[in-house]
Amino acid sequence: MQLDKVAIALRPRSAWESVDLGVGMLREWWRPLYASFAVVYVPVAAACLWAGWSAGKAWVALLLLWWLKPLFDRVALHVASRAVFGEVLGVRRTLAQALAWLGTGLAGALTLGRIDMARSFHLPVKQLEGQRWRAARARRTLLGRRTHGYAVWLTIACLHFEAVLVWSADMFGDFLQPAKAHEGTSIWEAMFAGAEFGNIFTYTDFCAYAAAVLVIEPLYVVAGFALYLNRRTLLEGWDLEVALRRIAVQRAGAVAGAATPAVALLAAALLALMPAAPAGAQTTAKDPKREIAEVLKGPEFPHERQTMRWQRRASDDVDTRTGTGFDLGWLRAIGYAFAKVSEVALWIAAGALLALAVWWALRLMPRAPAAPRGPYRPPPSLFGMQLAPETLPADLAGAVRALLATERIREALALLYRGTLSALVHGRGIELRASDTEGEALARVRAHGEAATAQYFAELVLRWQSAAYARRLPAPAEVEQLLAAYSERLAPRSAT
Amino acid sequence: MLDTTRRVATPEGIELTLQLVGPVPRALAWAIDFLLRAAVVIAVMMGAAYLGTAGWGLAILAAFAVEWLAPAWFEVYWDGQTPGKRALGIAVVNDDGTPVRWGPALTRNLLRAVDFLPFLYGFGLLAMLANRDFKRLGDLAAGTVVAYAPKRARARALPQAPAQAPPFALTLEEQRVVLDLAERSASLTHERLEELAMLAAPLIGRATGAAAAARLLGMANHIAGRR
Repeated sequence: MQLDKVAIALRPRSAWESVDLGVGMLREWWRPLYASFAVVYVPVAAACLWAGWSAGKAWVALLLLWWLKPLFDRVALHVASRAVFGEVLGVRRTLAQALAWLGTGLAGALTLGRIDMARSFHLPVKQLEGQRWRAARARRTLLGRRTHGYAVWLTIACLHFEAVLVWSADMFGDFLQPAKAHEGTSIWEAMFAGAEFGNIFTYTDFCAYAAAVLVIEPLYVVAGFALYLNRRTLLEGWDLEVALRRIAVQRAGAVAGAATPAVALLAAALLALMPAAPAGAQTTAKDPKREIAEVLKGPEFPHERQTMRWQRRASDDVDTRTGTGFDLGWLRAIGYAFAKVSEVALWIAAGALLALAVWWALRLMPRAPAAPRGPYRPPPSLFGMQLAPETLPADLAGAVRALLATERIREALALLYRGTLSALVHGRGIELRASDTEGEALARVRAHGEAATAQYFAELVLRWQSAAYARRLPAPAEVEQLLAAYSERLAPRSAT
Repeated sequence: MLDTTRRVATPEGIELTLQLVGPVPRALAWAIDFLLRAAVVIAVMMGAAYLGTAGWGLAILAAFAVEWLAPAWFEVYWDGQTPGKRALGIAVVNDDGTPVRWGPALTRNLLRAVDFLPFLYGFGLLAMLANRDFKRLGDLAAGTVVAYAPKRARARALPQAPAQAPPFALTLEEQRVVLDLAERSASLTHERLEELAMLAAPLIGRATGAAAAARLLGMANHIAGRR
């Protein structure tokens, strides 16, 4: 088993979700599954029909077909189990491998095993794992511990799906008959038309049933297989195996890191000897425009649009009546145009008046008073910096200078910035909010009215932004300058 | 990779994953709903039998409401779940993952009549099998999907082990794998756990067998913050 080739997304699923995955698998590989299934199924169904016909009883054919289901199941499971691991089999190869799926306890499955209520869930144990007798039973108990009930419900559901399809086919056939075909008969007589007493099934019923089995049986098998796969994924950590292998591949270099410099040197030497790659190769490898176009094609970006616009009609409905004597058609046309223009203008005027009236009415409406805001509470942090004065060093200027002395300009600037924000919020009572951007904070400081403080803060914000976002650190002297301005204007007075 | 999910990108650029529900659980949910509806209608009929012809009219009105309106009402006001859907842990949502309102809920419920054709949801079943989002015709018209209702995540027990720092910084995804392995270690056999642990050679170095597993469990404890 090669989990790296697995074609389904492995993750621990709930039992129902894995049944749904089975339906998804059937939809993904419906061609190979149904093709191989039909190649085995249709001739056997025909043989059943023939057997029933020669026995003179349709129910014999039905029972035979139903009884032989485990035989067809094996074909579907064979194809599905290969497809999951990346090998989609054609009909010919499935038939060529017939011994592999025929010799898997078919005799048992067609006798006692036929009454197994979780047939499709148990089938992989026999067919894929090759377990027999006691080992198979132990294995089924282990696998079925939390899943057996779901597998039984799956069987029941699929049984009903078959019945639904049979009845639907029956009804559909009735729909297509002339309305008077059933006149005078009750609905029950119509439903069992053609059936005699003691032989309620007809050959038509057999055909409908055979078609329903053809549709549903692969679904049943693949859904049971998906339940089985999910159970093993949970029990054996298949998804973990895939993920751990990926770590091993991606991080293989992390351990051998010591050896890399020499290798890199060698590689560089080799690269230097190689002829330069043509420039075109680089651009085709990574073309952002094409990538963007591909992303935009995805289902998350709907690109359908309905537009409506007015279009001029062909001019055959123009009035071409001509009077005798003077041709006054042009006068009429002018009058008509004038009337049209006036009408449009009137409508526009009416619309404008209405809008004005609404606007006036809205103005006259009493305004709801703005919801009173709670008292301003200083935010605990701004731009990710703690603001409470007690989190700052007592001697901020000294701390900044100490940082500057050890060349940690960025930290020094950050501390100064933090101190300034704290002083503005807690000292000056400027109501900066957690949602403010630097620009908005600056605007609030300006609105506060102290021009010199605002200018200092503007300078500081500019320095800080270049340091934080552009990594352009100021010279220590500039920080000193800012610090001087800070000490002059903003430093807490209580310290002195 | 084949999966039964539908990804929805919100305008904020967040990607949500809806885990879609296929025909089997939906059929079972329908069966539960059907039995409940039948029970209600029969109860009303038994009560209405005492009222004569007026009672007959009442019973028919009740049957109409229970058959066509009640499921839509449940889907709008009960988190997209009818009783049967709640029993199966599934819910109706719009295609973009938002809760359904009256429009889509009524559309998809009234169109059950179409899915019901030719008999007992034959068309609905075939549509669900053919559509990649398991939509029946009513879902196609209403723009809804049935998805598993999100389950409240429960903390799983992490086996105690002396914490051990990984040899290099792990990405978020890698951390999750290690945590996942540790949390599920109780459901794996010892042999399988050791086998799995030894796969992650860059993490465990030269350790083998039980030592490798112990080292990974230690790393999981480290990631979980037990230091």
